[in-house]
Amino acid sequence: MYTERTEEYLETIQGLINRTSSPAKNKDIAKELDISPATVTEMIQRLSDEGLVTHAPYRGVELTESGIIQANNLQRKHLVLKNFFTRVLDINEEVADQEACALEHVMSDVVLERMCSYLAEKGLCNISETTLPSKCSLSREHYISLVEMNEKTKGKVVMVALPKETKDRLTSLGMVAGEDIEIKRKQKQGCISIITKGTEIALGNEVAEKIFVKPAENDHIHRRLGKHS
Amino acid sequence: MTTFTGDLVNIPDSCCGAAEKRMHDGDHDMTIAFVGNPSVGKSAFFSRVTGVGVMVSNYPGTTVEMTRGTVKVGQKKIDIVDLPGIYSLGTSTEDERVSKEYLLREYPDVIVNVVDATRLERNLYLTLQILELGVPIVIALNQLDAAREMGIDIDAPKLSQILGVPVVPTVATKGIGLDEVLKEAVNPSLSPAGRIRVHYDNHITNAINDLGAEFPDTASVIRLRALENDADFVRMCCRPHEADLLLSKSSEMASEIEDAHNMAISDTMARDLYGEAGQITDSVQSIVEKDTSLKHRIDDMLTSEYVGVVGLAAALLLTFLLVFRIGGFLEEGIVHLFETYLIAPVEAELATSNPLVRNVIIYSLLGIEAGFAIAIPYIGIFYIILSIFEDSGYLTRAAFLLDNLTHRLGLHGRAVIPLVLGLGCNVPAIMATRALNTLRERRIASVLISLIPCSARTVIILGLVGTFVGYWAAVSIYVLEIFIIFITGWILGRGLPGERTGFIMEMGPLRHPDVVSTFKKTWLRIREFVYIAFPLLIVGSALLGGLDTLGILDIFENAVSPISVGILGLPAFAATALVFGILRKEMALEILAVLAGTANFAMVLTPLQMYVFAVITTIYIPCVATIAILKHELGTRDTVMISTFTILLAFTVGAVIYQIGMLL
Repeated sequence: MYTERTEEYLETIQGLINRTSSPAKNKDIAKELDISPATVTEMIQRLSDEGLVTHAPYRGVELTESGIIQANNLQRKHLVLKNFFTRVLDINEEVADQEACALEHVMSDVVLERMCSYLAEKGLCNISETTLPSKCSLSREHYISLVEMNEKTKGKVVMVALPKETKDRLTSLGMVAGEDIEIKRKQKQGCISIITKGTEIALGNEVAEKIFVKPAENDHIHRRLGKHS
Repeated sequence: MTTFTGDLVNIPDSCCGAAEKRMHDGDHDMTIAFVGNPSVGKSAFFSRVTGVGVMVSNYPGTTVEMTRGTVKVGQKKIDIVDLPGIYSLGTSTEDERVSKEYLLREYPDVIVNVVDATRLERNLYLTLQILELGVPIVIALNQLDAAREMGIDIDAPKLSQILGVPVVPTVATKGIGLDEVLKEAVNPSLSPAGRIRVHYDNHITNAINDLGAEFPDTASVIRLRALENDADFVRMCCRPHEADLLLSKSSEMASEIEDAHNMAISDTMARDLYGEAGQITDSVQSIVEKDTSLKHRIDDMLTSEYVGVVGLAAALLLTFLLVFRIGGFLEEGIVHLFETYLIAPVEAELATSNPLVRNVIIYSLLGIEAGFAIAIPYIGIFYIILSIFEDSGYLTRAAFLLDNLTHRLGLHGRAVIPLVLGLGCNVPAIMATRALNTLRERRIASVLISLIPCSARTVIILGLVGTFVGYWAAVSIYVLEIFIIFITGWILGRGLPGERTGFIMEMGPLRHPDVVSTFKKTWLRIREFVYIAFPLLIVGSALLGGLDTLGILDIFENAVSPISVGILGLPAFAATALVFGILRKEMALEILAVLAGTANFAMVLTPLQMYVFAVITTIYIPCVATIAILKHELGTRDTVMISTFTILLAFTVGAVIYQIGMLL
């Protein structure tokens, strides 16, 4: 999932740079991927730690050499896949694009090369003609981890990615997926407490991190800079 | 820990025939168990009904073991059992297991389900689960006063009608409605028939029926738990062979259902249970918004970043200052009374009698004086303050606040509660660690608790150093202790293997501590202290008098003097006091007074000697009671290790302080 997300970012950043011929702005990346600017800031920090992008304040994000290689590689995968779907399997372009968006992240280089040489054999390999991929959006980014929520904001629990025992305990305390919750207290880098079913429950950072919430409208997302790296 | 007595545990022939009656022990006509979520007021209820004094506080996990009491209703003699709170019949910490085990192995005749009216929906989750047990149930709808304050109104008759069991509105802390609950409970027509059935998803209902066809002897609750793969539960009440069969069959079915729903079966069940609970709540509850903003503002402040931490530190400092000032004031008065009206006249009276008799009598009297004058004032004041902390709900806020810090000690915030209780007495504090999730956390917390200066050690620190050296010198001992605890915890947290779990804790609302219950609780603790400590103190002092007269004390003191006098710089008689301190920590000081022949320590000890003595007694070897509870909770190996570690640590620190003190 991390690599997948990394790749989505690289793809988006490259797309933006190509279109505007200038460094990509966080704001635009956020808009393109339909996620919060805070999440982008955090992710860019991580990408920069991994040496894939460089980031200068007020200027924007640029890809490093290895970032460009990875982005190009990804773009190639996308195009090969799309070609294969539309021309060999006769799938319509829109669906092919979507499928390619998903598969490009998991396809190995071996399969890529085989697919490419197959297309070449059949004389179908005209990558340069194909258009750039349309937006590969990250629909799951609509929800965020509980630790990113602000004090006194509300949201709905979407997913609890914790071991069964911990999850059962949360369930018995009234915190289940689909439940509306409110952040009552929040400490910097520490505990968070939520109100669910009229009960206040304190959660450690390590638990709250794995609970995903869809923030209610108009609620701002807390900025957490580079906490994960 | 648990009070299961062998003859009560009847191994069922079938797999949990739910309606099966347990054997009575002959003494009682029936057994009633109090079951409910933590912090709903079960113990307050129990205490009111039976008159048995039990601790009642405002944090989850106050009761960690079952307590029994007897009450007579009409002609019937009833055995009443107070169980630790549980949130569900599912996974549990060790204290919660006690409740689960009791419910499944030792059927009570009637369950009184205590339900918190301020959080009905969440409480109904457990209620709906235990309704499936097939035991007669009466629901005590408790904390109605608090609910009203919050603007919550609940239609009890309607709730009773929906659930199909009697529902009695109660306010346990004031004794309202308790008699009615008992009356309902002993009503012979009370039966499990005609109660609500949770509408589970079709797949689950079918699976339960299919399992029923194959295992006709099992109650439906067992089949449900088996489907949820709660092996612990099934094994607890079925024979091993049958349990295995049932579990393997149901896990097959469960995975089919999970595939169909594309979600874990426990999630499906939780959804259905909460769905039902939510529906019931909506139809019986009405809420009028009330203005509680002041309370909320105070509450928010307690955990805010700066005010919270500063407040906590200030609260602790203030506590010790109060204990020191008021305790010291009382001590002076009591010493004066004893010296003038008891010790001096008796001494005059006995001036010419046999030295052995005279010493034994005088020493015993000095022991009693020390107990009253030194221990009770400090311990009493301390417990009053501690119970205010407990009852207000502040402890859970402190746990929240310190979660970050305790993580560095390999613990999470929940451990703050037992650690703070350790300031009172290490024994119940170590028992309270049962509410922690893993053995690893319990081991770390127990080691740290045995290093925490309990009220007995506070007596020494404040009564000796605080009074004769200075308040800030006494505070410096606490700072030193905190430092030692932190280092020890840090090392243990890194070094000790085992599972780490996350911090999850319910935070109850803040409450006004009630004056009457505060004094009741303090009295309960003081009484226990007097019962345990005074006999030891009197016998110990008398023995000391005898040994002194016979010259045996001198022999011992001379033998250890290279260490006590040479390395630690203490007077020779301090060694004897330290030995007695193992029985009870504050006895070290009391015996010191007896041996010195006065409670005015400035006449016999230098400030440095007092400081070293206080530091050593605070750290070295846990008292006998703590050793016993450590052995019970953690085993012999850990106990020996903790004892050895603390002795070495105490003497090392003591020697270092003495050396530094000599240089200054």
